[in-house]
Amino acid sequence: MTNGETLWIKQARHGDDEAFGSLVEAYQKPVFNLCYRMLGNANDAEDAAQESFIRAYRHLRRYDPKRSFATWLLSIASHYCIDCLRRKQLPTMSTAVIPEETVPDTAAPNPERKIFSIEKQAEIQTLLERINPTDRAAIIFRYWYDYSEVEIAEALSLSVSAVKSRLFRARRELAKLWLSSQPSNGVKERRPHESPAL
Amino acid sequence: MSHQPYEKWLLSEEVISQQDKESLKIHLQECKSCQDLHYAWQAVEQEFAINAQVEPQSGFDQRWEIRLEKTRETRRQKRITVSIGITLGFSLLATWSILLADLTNFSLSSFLGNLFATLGQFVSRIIHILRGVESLFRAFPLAIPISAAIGVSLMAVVTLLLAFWTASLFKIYQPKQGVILK
Repeated sequence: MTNGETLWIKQARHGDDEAFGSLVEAYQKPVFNLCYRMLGNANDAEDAAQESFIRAYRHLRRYDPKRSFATWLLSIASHYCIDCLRRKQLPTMSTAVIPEETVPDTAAPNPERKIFSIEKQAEIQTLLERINPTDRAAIIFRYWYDYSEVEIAEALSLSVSAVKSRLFRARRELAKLWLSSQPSNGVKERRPHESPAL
Repeated sequence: MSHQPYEKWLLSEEVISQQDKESLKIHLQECKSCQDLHYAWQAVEQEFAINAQVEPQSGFDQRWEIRLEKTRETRRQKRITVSIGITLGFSLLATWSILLADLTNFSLSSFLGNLFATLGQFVSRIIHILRGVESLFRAFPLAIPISAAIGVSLMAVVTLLLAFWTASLFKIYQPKQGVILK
């Protein structure tokens, strides 16, 4: 967290809306991305991200400055998304509403590459949507935010051992789903990289 | 064939010893199921790596400001509605108490015209009733505990209603959030 962000948080806690607006601007991408990965479509993700910021604004006094603000904010967003998913069955993602990627594609004008990227996003999103919401959140924190198991535990209000077992379960499920989604005998050749265990 | 602990080694992030690595390699050569799981997970992980973060459409912070304003307005309206409701409820309760206490002599015009006089009349009637009850108690001492219990209960109910009303108003006007609402 930068000094500017610390100052914004302090000012926002004293009622400065502009300072909170700066926090929204700074954290909109990670919050939106988390909501998008959790819910699978841009409209629901926008709504969930907005609501997460409203909740953060309302409960800013409960934030402990010793903790990471990003983790606290993403924790609010992930809990909100998990609640949404539990309350209703969200429709599966349509590729027509996939938002732009933050990291620009080096071959952006190439439509084939863009279609490939969209297909890949849709593929991964379909896999994510088929696992339990809390396991999904753990996987998103691990692979999109590079969070450690301890940080995931903090964000999802779980124990570290629970996070480990959820990650293990989710990985196994994703691998099996990926296998079943491939055409017959999809794994034919050895991948260039090995498992961390190897 | 048992797939443990090989599945665990493949799918968890724990570092394993050289001996276990060798054992895993041998198992992967023999076990098709673990081999498939291993390569499938590698493929999924690779897809995760190429999936960048997605960002919202531009103007997210402006849309958030509008939403915050709407949320504030909704909360403000809710507070007003609730306080009006509570005030009306309390007024209705008070009016009904007066009407019930003085049902026979009640007149709407006199009530509206001279509220204080009616209240005074109500109080004097209560005193009158209390005196009557007191004389009744003197005549029948055994009736005292039951009547006293009824009286205390009624007073407790009224006190509780008043406390609830005050607490509700206090809670409604108490800002709940970290920052002061406009």
